[in-house]
Amino acid sequence: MPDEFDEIIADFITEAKESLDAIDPLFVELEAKGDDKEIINEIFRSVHTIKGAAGFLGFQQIVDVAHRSESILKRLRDGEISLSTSLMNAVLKSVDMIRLLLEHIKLKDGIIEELSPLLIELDSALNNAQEVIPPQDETQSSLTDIKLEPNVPASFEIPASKEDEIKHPIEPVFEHIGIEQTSFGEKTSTTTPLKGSIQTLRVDTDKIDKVMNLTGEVVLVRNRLLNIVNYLSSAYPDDSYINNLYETVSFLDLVTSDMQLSVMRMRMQPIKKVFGKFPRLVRDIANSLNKDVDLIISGEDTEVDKTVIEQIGDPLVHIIRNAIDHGIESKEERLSKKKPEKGTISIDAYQKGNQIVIVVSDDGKGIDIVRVKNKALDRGLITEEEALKMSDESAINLIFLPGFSTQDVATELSGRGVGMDIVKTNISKLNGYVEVTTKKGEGSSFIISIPLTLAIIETLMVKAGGERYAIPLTPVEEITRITMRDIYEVIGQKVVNIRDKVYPIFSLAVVLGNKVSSDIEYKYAVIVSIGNTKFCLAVDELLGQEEVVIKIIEGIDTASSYILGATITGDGKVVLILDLASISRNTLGMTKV
Amino acid sequence: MPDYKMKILVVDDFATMRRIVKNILKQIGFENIEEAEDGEHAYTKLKSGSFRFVVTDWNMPNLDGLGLLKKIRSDSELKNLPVLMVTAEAEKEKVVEAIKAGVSNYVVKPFTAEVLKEKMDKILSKMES
Repeated sequence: MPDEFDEIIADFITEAKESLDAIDPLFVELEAKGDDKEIINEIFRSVHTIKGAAGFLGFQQIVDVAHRSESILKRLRDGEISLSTSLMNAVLKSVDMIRLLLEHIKLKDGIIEELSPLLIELDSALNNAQEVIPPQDETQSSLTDIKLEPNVPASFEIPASKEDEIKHPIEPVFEHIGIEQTSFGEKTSTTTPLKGSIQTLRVDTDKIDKVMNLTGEVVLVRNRLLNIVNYLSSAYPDDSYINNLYETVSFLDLVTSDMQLSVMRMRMQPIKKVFGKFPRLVRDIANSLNKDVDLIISGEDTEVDKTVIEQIGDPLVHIIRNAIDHGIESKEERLSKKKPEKGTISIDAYQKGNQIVIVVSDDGKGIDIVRVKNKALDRGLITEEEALKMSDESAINLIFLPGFSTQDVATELSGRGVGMDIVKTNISKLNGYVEVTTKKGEGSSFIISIPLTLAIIETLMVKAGGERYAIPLTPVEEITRITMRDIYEVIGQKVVNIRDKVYPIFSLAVVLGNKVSSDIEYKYAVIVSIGNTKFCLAVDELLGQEEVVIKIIEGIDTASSYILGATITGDGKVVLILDLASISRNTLGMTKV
Repeated sequence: MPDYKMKILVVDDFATMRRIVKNILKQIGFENIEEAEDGEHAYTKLKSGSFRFVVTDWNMPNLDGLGLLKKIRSDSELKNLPVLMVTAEAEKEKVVEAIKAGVSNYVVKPFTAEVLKEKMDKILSKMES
């Protein structure tokens, strides 16, 4: 049964990784609380279980590593040896190694890791541990075979009726720690346990995605039906069949929306899955930089789309690294500034409307805007004139430009030239955007906003330069009618005055290269808010609001084409969906419309 | 020759392990296998269904294998149910506890279908006699 075996291995990799992810934050907790037997036992259980399954599947390398760290954990738990940094580090390294080995199995790359240095380290960590009972040198199973012969008779007489034998109930060795980790539908499992029924179900994500795609198609059909019915009922308002049809389609409309939401929920997972890795990450980075950093995590139960879980990790890691490396000052510097010696990084996630917001803040030195401008000048990213005109908010955003890095000497962690531009790119891929606020001497915050669902969005249909476009509705603040007289020109930039507020305005047709600027009529202004920038897009016609399913167009670069994807509208036409974030990024600052 | 239709409960908190054990039981020829993720769930299942054999892991949250075993042995309906304990190498010393608590037999992981069959045969033939 080769297929069955492959499936079991795939299950094993997933489950083992989840198990390791779940214990990761425990290490940091352990470090804070010291010798906590319950935490140690939890870690032990995870390593132990992985070892057991790996043994069945013939992954000897995993067994070798897990066995040794399990031995250490067991003796720590049983109080035979005391916790030390070298023991902790050895166990941490073995957890990392198991992860790596799992990755090799997953990729089937055939790479054999050289384990002996780690095995030696584990052995010597155990040997050098305090209060060690002398191990029997070479033998792997130094801890076992104490009371029983390896071959206990395979059967023995234990009449089940001899209940009186159980006079000294032995304390269960493994206590319940209260941490439960199911990978999927964790939230949906109800509070009434047991009853023998299955509360959660593991489903292949491909299957869910299939349902998701089909739902998308249903949404499109629903939109078309709505269109047709609206036409019919205005053309024949007294026809009872059409009225019936109208009612039926209205019901279908509601059900489809509910179905869409339910399928979306199926793909949602708590962001804990990503945040769980951060305590360890922060600890490691802070240690390597000789800084002392506290991490405060909140909102880890906020649920986000699976794709977000998969994609948001790297950008967040990058932001956190930067915050510790460049944001948080050295201990001495902090003390001299009368700040607490320990720096603080806080990560928060919450839902705001149909957006998920993730905020990473530090209480470090803040971003030096003058330095950012100078660096951008040095790198030729902006001209001197631009630097002078540039507002502070725009200047901070320079850190997201490719090839920008404020640290003069690239540190091992966040240097190497690749940097915040990757953050921006990855977040844009999720259809989201990132903004930065900073206060000199007090710290910075990175605020990431991502739409709740990635597949279906509410859009505003407009016409510009004779073409129809769909504008994602979330960043749209307001739509208003304007005339040529509302337009002014300030230092070469067209602006519009709406209720005493001045916004830069761009003709959508010009931005998209459909038209030259001379014969633009300004009819409607769509006020867009991306992060803390606001601007207006001038369009010729407003066609209405429509919920659309994004179809990704292969081979298109969103950042330069401003096209997020395409959709089929209610009347069966293909319409391009615009990416406001990249329009905002590219047109503002370097604008001549 | 065991009754291959008898209902068996596999108890382990690690889903992959349940699948592995289930697979091995199927290899032996058993067809009617159910799963439980810890001792608590297992006990509830056992109370509600006509299980005739239990293969349980030791190390589990909530109620571990030993706890489950004790609960089974002190339950008038279930006390004669054969319980096979799956243990790890390092738990051998604790097998004594399991024996005291009335375990039918134990098997050290990793095990093969042959080993498991042998253990099950022994338990079942003992039951009959």
